Amino acid sequence: MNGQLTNDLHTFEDDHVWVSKNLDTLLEQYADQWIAVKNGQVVASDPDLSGLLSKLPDPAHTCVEFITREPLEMVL
Amino acid sequence: MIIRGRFIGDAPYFAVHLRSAYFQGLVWLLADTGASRTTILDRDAKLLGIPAEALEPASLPIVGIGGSVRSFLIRDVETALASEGEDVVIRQDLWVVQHDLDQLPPEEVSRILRLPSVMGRDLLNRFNFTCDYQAGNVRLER
Repeated sequence: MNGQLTNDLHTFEDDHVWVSKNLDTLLEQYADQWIAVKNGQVVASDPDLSGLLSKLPDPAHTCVEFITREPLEMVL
Repeated sequence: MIIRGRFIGDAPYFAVHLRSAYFQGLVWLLADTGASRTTILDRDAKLLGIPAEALEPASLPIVGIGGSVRSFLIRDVETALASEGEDVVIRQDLWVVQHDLDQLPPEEVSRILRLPSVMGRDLLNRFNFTCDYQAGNVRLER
């Protein structure tokens, strides 16, 4: 694995953790929207996932999460 | 060799990079010992831009994911994980599950798209998997 890929994986991981830790703040601005996060910053948002993807140059390498107050219990 | 995961809430996750002949990208996988197969769900299939020609209809039924779903295989996918030591790259088939989103009400679509893809036992059992929520420690080791 090259260094760039390792960095990409760590940044991607950090961005998901950042969303989780900043959920209350994100809810104030992005409730019920999809957001894209890069390096701890929201780079795009949209109520519709397809709409968000159309705004991203590289969705396959971007942290994307839905911001909502609705709890979701998962039994997978 | 240790691959460290992270807890989101109480759920253990690992970041992986997937690469096949048809697509590549990063996926945030929920470690799920209840899942026999590592499976890409709807949102990540969209994010990765997996083309239809990469999807081979699965011969085995998938039970456990609700609603009307279609299941597929993607052959020969390279899964890479960042470790503290040697590189970890595993090549294997992956499963893809797609719900029939066009037939569902918007609120249901939204919930389904929130579901994470899962790292199943086909990957987890290649490692010594530690999931200690009380200590904040989730890792794969070998």
